[in-house]
Amino acid sequence: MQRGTHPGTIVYVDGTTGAVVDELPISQVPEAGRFVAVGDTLVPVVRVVAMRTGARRCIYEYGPQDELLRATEQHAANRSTGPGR
Amino acid sequence: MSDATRPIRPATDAAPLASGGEPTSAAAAQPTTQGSASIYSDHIERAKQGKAVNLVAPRKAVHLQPAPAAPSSDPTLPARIALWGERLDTHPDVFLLPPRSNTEAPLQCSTAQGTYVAAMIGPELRAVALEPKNRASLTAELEARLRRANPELVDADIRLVAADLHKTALLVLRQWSDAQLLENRARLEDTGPRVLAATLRALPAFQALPPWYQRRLAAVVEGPTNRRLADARERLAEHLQWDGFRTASPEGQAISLMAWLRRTEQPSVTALAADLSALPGVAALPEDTRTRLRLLIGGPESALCADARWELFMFLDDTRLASLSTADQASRLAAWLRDYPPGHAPVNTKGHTFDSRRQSFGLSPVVAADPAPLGLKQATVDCVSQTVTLGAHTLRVIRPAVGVETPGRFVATTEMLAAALAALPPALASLVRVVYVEQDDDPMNAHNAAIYGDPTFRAFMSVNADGVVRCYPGMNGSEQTRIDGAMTHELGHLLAGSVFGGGDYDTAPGWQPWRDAITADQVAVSGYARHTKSEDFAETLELYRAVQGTADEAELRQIFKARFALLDEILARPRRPAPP
Repeated sequence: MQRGTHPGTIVYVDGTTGAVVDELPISQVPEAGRFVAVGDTLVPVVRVVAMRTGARRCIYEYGPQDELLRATEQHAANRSTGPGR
Repeated sequence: MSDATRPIRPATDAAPLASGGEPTSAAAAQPTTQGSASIYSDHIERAKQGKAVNLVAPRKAVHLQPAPAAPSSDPTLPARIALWGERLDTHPDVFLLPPRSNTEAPLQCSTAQGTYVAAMIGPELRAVALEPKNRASLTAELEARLRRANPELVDADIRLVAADLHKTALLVLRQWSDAQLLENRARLEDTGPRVLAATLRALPAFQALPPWYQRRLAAVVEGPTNRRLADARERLAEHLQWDGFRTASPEGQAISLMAWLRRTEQPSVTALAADLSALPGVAALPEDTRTRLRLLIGGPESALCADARWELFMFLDDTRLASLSTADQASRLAAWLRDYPPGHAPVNTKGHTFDSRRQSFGLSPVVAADPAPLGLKQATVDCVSQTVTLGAHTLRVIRPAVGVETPGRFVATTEMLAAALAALPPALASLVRVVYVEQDDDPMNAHNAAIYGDPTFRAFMSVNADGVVRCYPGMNGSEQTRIDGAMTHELGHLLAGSVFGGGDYDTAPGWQPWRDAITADQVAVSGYARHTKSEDFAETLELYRAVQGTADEAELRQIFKARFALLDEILARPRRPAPP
């Protein structure tokens, strides 16, 4: 599998506010978060955007060309707003 | 009862009508003027002199009860009449301008004989109708409407007064109301509501609520005792005692209280439409914007737009829109449509499933799969594979050979995943190459929690740009609807990328068609959709697919006309399936 050259850092954005919440060198990022396998190529992740609504949060990872590499849907544990009445 | 609180009975022929239009015993309803010591003496005198009377009611309802000396022909009948004065402000002599309320189900019915307004207020009162030019015009239509509004209505509950009795009746009823309220105060205000009100007000979550929510909740716990509010209080007390509420954070409790209130309060379509049509600013809006507002109010039977009606009602109430200039009204309404309250969806899509769109699918026997590393995340484990056939498209679902489900960790079955794939539009399903059921949690969970906070979030599903879908052990169960929704939504992002390209969604030329559709429709499908154009696409696609073939589709196609039309075109484009 080919591995693209990583520019070295990943920018993390709160998609709800648009604010940059962090920028990390890839040495501080788990291996699984540095690249995304697209076909037979490992494409470097350079920007991550998180969107949250209630008990759902989506994490979007983008490549050097601002292309979407991976979309991950997260759920919070056992959240609801009422007993249904 | 003292003279000061005894109801007066003016000498009129205020005979209420029984259901079906027949008068009841005149004696039962012949008020007199005895016991007339009243704070309303001046009003009565002015009325007798033909002068205008201004009764600004602090309450929304006034009640009449026949004096004990004038028994009804059926003494068991609670021959009480209540007037609700929305239409009475047009009366030349009487002004009764109660605060507008959506909580009392005003019911307006226009017939050839005139306009009736009815309301159910209080445990004794069932219905009132006013302004018939002919008292015999209690038509079947009106009665049917009253009964639909309150299925518990019985014949004895329907009473009418004729239009010429308005003025007298109001004065009588108002005075009786004061007396009755005083007399019944101790009975009505038992300790339950007081405790409930104190409990509610002591909550930090209550103090943190927006003012409108505080007012509405206070109205529930501190309003007059009647059947509807008594029921609402009982349910609110239950809600406050519910473990899920008691153990929630103040933020969670505030959200929960708002959600509870939204389930409880149901704005009247009729009142909302009348309020809007009375605003000059509505007429000043572009025709297309007026159409959007009309669609969002929906028809009386539309449950889809119940939330939108609620939000619009709240908006009109909070902004006192009627007091603004025409231009300000128009601009604020247009802005309300465009910036629909964050976090809320204008259409209620709860309850929709993808079942109606699920196609048949084929599932091969289980075979051993190579124990190869599954991408970057999966450790080397023994795996099994099944092939899913969706028309001409085939793909594999690969999972560990041994079960990975443990208590508290639910894992989607291959059948559930195949069913979710079969519910996708073919153009979306064709993007999927392989589905992995992961044995372990997403290794990025901890990192994302460190970056974005809240360690309770865990990955449920991820979709790679090359059509690799991964499902992770879930905490809340892996019910089919959740899998269907997540798969449609996340693959929707991939589809959008393949159609419109990457780059800044707000400026990239490829995204112009979707931006145009958003502009044309004005309102978005959800609060979440407004975050980015890509979220708007994914959320709209999820709704589009969920309602296809259902009774709601036509209405939603009107509300989101441009988006749905573009999705029709995109999903119809020929697409080459992803290689297996």
